[in-house]
Amino acid sequence: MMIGALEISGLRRAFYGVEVLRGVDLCVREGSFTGLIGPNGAGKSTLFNVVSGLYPAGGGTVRFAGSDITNSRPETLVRAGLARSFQLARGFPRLTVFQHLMLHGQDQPGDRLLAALIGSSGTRQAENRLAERAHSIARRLKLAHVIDNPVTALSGGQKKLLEIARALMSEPRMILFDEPMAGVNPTLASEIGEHLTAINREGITILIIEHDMALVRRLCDPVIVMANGRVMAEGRFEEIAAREDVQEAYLGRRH
Amino acid sequence: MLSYLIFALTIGGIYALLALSLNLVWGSAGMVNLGLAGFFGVGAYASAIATGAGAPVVFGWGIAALAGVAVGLLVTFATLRLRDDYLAIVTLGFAEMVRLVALNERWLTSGADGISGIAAPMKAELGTGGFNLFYLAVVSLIVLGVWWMLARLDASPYGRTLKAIREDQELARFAGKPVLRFKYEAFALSAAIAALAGALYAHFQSYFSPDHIQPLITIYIFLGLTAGGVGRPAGAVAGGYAVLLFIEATRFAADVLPGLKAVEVAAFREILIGAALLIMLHLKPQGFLPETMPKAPKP
Repeated sequence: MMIGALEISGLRRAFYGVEVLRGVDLCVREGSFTGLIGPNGAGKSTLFNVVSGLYPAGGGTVRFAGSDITNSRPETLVRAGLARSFQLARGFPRLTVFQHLMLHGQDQPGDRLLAALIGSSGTRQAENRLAERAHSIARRLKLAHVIDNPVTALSGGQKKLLEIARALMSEPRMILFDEPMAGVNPTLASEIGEHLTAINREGITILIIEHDMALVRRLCDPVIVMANGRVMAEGRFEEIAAREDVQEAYLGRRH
Repeated sequence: MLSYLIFALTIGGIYALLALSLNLVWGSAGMVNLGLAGFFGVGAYASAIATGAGAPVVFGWGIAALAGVAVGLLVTFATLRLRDDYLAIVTLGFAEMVRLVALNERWLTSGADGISGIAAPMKAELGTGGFNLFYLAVVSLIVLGVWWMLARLDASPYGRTLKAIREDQELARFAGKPVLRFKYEAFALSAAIAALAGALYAHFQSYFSPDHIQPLITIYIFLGLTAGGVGRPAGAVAGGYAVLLFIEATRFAADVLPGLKAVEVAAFREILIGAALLIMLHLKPQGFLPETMPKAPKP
């Protein structure tokens, strides 16, 4: 039996009576770089939002690394090793890149009121450990030169890189990437692709929503296709792309 | 004149404490508390009643702070399910509720008469002049201590998380932060400081009545904090003293404005205070001591 990092079964979610997820079943293999594609309105982002704890599920279960995480809180999931990025790069406007990275570091005793007031050596040690990690991640994602800049001063591409950096900072086992290359120039898009491949090689499972088929073909295996709130196909990109029903739903019928 | 200055600096210290309280909850955590006067009142009554029943004054201050924590937790709990802007409305209502309870529960608060003869520590031993100087020292030391504590908090990982919650609380949860716990703690600590300020005020004046719980105090503190620098404890202290000194300075406006009746001067003072805020916001929107962004330590 295949062991999945993320196992979703019968997942449902409706908004004001409109069913957006209509019983999603899928399994993301541990260590894989899985692509999630589908036409607009297929329910991909909603799936991410339910899995990551932003919205409660209307039914079904989500298991992560073997434990049931259905309707867990986002903060619990992050600490359990499930990180995510957002389609529209987000940030705390008046905090610097460095502060963002530090915030996403886990196990900081200084996040406790008393420890913060008294000032423990554990807090200082954790700060040093996290700062070292933050600097190395910033160097890796070419954010070192803007590390003291507030997020509002970053370019669109740098904000996309910060999304990745932030997810990495929490030392995740798996990252859900929601269109990490959308809206950036082709050079940066393929650079981001290389970052993601490298991250995946380090053993972090990736589930990524992406619309650029060339990138999906190059990066993802397997690929899962969603349409109308359900999974309609799964397999290697070439297999998926050859299927007539998939072409009709998403890729556009060939003449 | 000297005793007037001592009086003004003591009240200025109490305003500084209120500004520190507001800065923690609004400046750092982004929760709008329009009920500052309510927490101030809770502290004043808690300490007045406790010391009236025979507790030593320092003990009364402790009880005031604890009462602040208790009502702070209650107000946060009551507003958890509400959107952020409703917190402002609920806290405004809370302050009015405290005033009405103080006005009507005569058995506890003596109603509109207020509580008089509140114990003034060391007044018998020191005499009036000595007491005022002693009390100024006590209040100033407490301001210094609370400022030191909150500046530490501001610079700690905890303070960083509060600011993240201020900016985007949903994103803060995706950073792994239990946002609710932070909000409860920040609000409770802030309420405790406001209540302590109320207790200090009550024991300084030896008298406290429902009339002291006015939304105007809350507005003055918002004004002071905005002028001093929202999001920075030092800005809160500077703003607290500055607003009180400015309000007191407008008293002397009557001397330089001939031809105004007393009522007109009172109204003119309010105009001056409003105008000062507008000018301040226009010239220095971030305040005298703006919030700073810490630099990353060198790798």
